[in-house]
Amino acid sequence: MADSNPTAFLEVENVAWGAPRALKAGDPPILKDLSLEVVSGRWIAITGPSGSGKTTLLSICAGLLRPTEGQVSLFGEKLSGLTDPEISRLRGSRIGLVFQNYHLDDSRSALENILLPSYFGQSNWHEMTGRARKLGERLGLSDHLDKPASVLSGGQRQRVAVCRALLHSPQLILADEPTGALDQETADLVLQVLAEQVSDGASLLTVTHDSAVLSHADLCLAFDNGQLREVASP
Amino acid sequence: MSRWRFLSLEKPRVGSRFRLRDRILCSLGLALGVFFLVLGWGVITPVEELIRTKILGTLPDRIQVAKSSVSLGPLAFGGQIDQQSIEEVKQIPEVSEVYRQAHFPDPCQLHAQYAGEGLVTDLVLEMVDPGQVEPDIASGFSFEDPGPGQPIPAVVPRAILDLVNSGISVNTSLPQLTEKAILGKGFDLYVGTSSFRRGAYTKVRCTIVGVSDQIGAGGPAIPYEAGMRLAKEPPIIHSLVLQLTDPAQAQVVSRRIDSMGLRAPKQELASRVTSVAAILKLFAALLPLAVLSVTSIALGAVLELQVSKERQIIALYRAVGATQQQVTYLYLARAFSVALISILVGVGGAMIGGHTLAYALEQKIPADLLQGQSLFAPPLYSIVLAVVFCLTLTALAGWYPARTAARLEPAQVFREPA
Repeated sequence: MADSNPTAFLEVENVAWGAPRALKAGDPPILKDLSLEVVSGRWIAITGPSGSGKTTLLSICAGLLRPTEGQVSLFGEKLSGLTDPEISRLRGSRIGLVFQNYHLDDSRSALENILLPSYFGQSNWHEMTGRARKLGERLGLSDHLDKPASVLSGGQRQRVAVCRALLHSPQLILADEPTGALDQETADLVLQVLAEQVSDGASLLTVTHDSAVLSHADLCLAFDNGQLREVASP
Repeated sequence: MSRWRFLSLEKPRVGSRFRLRDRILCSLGLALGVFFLVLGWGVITPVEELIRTKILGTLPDRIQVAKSSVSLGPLAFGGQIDQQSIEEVKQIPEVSEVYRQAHFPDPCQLHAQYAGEGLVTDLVLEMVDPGQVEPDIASGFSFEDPGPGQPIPAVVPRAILDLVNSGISVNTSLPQLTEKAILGKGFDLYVGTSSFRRGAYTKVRCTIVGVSDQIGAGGPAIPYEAGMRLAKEPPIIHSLVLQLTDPAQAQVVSRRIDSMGLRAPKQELASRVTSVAAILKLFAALLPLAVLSVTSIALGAVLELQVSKERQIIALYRAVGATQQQVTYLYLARAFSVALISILVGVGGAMIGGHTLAYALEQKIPADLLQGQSLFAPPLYSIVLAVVFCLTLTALAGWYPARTAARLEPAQVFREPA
């Protein structure tokens, strides 16, 4: 169940961003005066054409990219005031990231890839291994967990990436096209798991072109000239 | 240990990006540097000591002093050191002890059993202060005057053993004499008589308590006080051994000795040996250091290349929670894993190679010359030095690539083609 008095896990205030070289060349910034608030138990979907700044926004929200202007706050703390270890700790324990291209370490097994955040944190290893296996089984990866990531199909890789993002039961999930490589049935399964996280109080910010994802969202936003505007859910 | 769990990502395993074969290849150069450093110092140090003790008969912290004699053709005059000179030498600040060595003034004869045969020979008996031969006294024995009626301890010059072994034993059926074989054995000393000067004698029992290079090649030595007790005439002190507070002051003391009308005949040669050994040691350190430096630069380049190949993985680590410090440690750990293999291979190789070389050489060198000496036995400090060099250079080589890895911008890397 969503929190009756929701707290803002993510606040983006008047953020602007442009690649330094592009800005020097006189190009307009990709993101302009963009503001967004993501509260607990909410699913927000963002859509927009390629190159509109969707992935850039997710990177800024995850603290992987510093905005040229504006402020980003995670769980009530301004990222500009946090040190690298503090931001890294937030990413490793309270934020789950699903990348558009999955980004798996092909030299490791699927299970090791799911467990990757645990290598850098202080969590209980046995507990995390059990949870990783459960998540893998839930998303239909039982027979593939011990296989090297390099032999997995695109859909399996995407599910491994989703499992990795959910390993620490994050409060904020930032997902870039989480169902992009999945068939309808598996996509529904992934969306069901994500929806469960939201109903447990997590907030989800997804970038997607998938109408099924948009239909699950509480709020749909679309990029328009570097800013976000609300659109109707399909 | 969960704080360091991330380092397990660097464990060598099948399919790892930094394969065991690559680790070993990267390690070879560093291992060679460690190998030559340990082996070089392992041979130069004992060889220097060997030359000083076995050939020159001096230790680095000792100076042997004799009287400046006046030579006239084959004749030399004035070889005795008087008490005043001894007192002057004792006043030199850099000298902590002065040991006297004198010829026993009365004639004497040795009576012993050697390989079942009776042996009688005239003897040049030496009298020395115990401290002079103390390093050569065998464990469990003492070189102090035991007093009347007790067997007197005696030290045999190693040169006599060499003479018997290389001059007599090889041409006869007599066995080789080793230090172990003669320790604790005794002989009778007939004090007051010899083949050339017959007279009334006193029979004294002596026990061999050590073999030494510190007493020249004249004859066996007994404690100075025991000699004084047995002699009818005053002894002739022909040399002194000065124990220095600091071996580095040997030249200073040597000059003072010259100004006092005494001389240190072996000091100049000993100093040259020390100088040559110092140059060789420097060379033995610089050459491997150069090898280590070049290899560590190569290691740095290899790591830099790996960082550039692993940008996506590094960005992934950062995205899932790795701090910059953890990424730095990961690449430093990789560099140190190479150093660890190098140290194991280098030190192990030097020990095995050194012992093999020592075994081969000891077949060619007379056993008595090497008695108590181990060639190619690296001193502990040379191993410590090699390990410290290797680790320091590895840290320097690994630091730059590790920092490059830590400073990658994940968002920027994720935009690059995988």
